[in-house]
Formats: sequence, C-alpha cells, structure tokens
Amino acid sequence: MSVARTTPPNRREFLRVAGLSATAAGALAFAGCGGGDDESALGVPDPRATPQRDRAILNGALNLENTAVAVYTVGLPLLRGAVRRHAERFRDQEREHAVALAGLVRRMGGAPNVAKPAEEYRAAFPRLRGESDFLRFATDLENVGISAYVEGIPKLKDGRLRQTVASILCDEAQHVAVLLGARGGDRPDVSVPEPFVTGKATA
Amino acid sequence: MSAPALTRRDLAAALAASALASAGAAEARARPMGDREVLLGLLALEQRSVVVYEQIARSGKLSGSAAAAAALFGDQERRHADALTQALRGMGATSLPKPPSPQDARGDAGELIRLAAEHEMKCIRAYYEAHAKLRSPALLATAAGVMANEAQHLAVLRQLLGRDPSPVAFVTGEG
Repeated sequence: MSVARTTPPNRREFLRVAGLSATAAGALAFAGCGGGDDESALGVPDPRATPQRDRAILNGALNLENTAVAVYTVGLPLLRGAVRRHAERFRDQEREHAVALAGLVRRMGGAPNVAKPAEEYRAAFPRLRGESDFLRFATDLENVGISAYVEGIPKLKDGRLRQTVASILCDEAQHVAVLLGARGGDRPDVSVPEPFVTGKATA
Repeated sequence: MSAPALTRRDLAAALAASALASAGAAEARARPMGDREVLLGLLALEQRSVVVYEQIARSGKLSGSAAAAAALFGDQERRHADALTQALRGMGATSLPKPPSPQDARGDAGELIRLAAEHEMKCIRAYYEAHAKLRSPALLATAAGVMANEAQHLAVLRQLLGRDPSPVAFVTGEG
C-alpha cells in the first residue's frame, strides 16, 4: 500500500529523491548519454560523442533549467530588497537558458522535455521558511547544475554547443557567487571559494 | 614540524592540476599540436591576470572587501597559471610564455577595479573560444571550471562597482 506524502521533504531528501545530489548530477542531468568518465583519462576526444548524444545532454540540461525556474519562482515571496531583485533576474535568466536549450533540441530534430506543472515542483521542494532556507536551497540547485555542466561539456561533440553550455555554466557560477555572498556577508572568499569551479562550493 | 593539512579546496585544485597534467601527457601522445597551442594562449592570459592583480594590490588604493577580492583573485589566477604550466610541460612544451613585467597601476580604486573587470572579460572570451577548439575531455572540463571562476571574479568586481553582478544569461566575455 502506498502512503501519500503529507509533509514536504527536507532539502537533503529532495536532492536525494530527485537524484540531484552533486555527485549524481552528471548522471541525472545527462541521462541517456551513456558511459562513464574513462575517456577523461585518455586525453583524446570522446569516441562516443554523437549528435544524438548531444541532443540527450541538452534535454537533460533543460530539465535542470526548468527546475531552477521553479525554485526561484517559489522562493520570490520570501525575499526582499537586493536578494529579491537578484532572484528575479536569476529566474528570468534560467528561463532564457530553458528557451535556448529547448530551441536547440528542436533544431536537432528532438522533442524538448517539458516543464512539470508548478504545483508538482512546489510539492517536491523542501519547506522554505525564509530567505536563509531559500538561499541554501537555491545554492544547492545551482551547484547541481554547475556539476552537471562541467561534466557534460566534454561529452558534447559540437564545439558551438560546448560554447553555449559553457556560457550558461558561467551564468550559473555567477548566481552561486551572489547567493553565497548574500549568505556570507559579501566576503570574496565566501563568494568565490574555489579556483576551479566544480559545483561543490557551499557557505 | 608537521606539514599544514590540505584543505578540501587545496585538494580540488591539486586534482585539477593533476588532471590537466595527465591530460597534457596523453594529449602529447595523441596530438602534438592543437590543444597545446590553445593552452599556450590561455597561459599567457593567466600570467597577465596574475600581474594585473599584483599591480592592483601593490597600488595600495583598494581597501576592505575590494582589497581582499584582489588578493584572492590574484591567488586563484596563479593556480590557473600553475595548472596550465603543468599541463603544457606534460605535453612536452619546452618554450612557455614568460610572465609580463609588472607596471605601476594608474588610476583610483574604481579605475583599478574596472581594469580588472575588463581583463576578466578578455579571459572569459578566450576560454569561450577555447571550448570550440579543445579536444581533450579532461582539458575541456578544467577549462570549464576555470572559465566559471573568471565569471565569478567578474560578478564580484561588478558588485564592487555598484553594478548588476550577473547582467546576462549567456556569459561569453562580450558586451
């Protein structure tokens, strides 16, 4: 017998249930792209890279972007002042990423993954009680995206797609810097803690 | 006396440098040209970044979080340059670009921060271009991590200038 969930998951549960833990990010976001990372050690182009796999990678990224739009949308009522202004802009930028990725998938002959209804995201997210909860959760989600993009870029066959994805990665990295700064009193060492951005930075 | 413990960040940086060096060695076996030329261009830019932040720090014109950012970012640029140097040595490159000579930084604090921001834009653009040219997966992954770090520097510098830290959805180093 299945028991309907009556309480929202906490942050960690959400990431686990959604398969969005940082270590699983690549596997989930780029589901269907096959294979592990053994090619990285060889230093040669990934022989399994194909246009079909590129399309699957972009469609996986689209899922992440749609989730990010939902996170910022849910969080906005909790925010005030500069943090709210940043969050509004970040939501709009995530939406731009989603539109661009969907367009690319379509141009490659695929069907873009569709965003879930807003209530479905809301029910799956942990309970956010205020700005602090939101900043932590949004940072986690952005980091999941960063991990996925850093792992996904070398798997893309098309150089122009790698450039597009890298430009999105950099935008997500800027979001994390701002979110971490908002939590850490705008200290540079908190906002930008690692010289090689991997999506593991937390405050 | 015991050696200082490695932090998680030190370890991550060491792993990135090691991955680059391994990729570099494999790259040398697979394709002696191509990725190496791209890395040489990136190294020259990273060396310039180190000098830019050294000049700014030496000027004594920044204080507080701006001075802290310049010191931190200079250190991170040095890590990038070290990793690229290791990778190039692993690829058998013997002739590496020499770091540029430091010059006196001119201008007030705002101008120095703008100088750093403009240089970060150049670096982002170079890594953006590199993403179309690099072929080694390990080099691509590391280049992505470095490019994202430069984008974060730019965001903080823009905040210090009172500007929107993240004004565009696609960060390409242009505009």
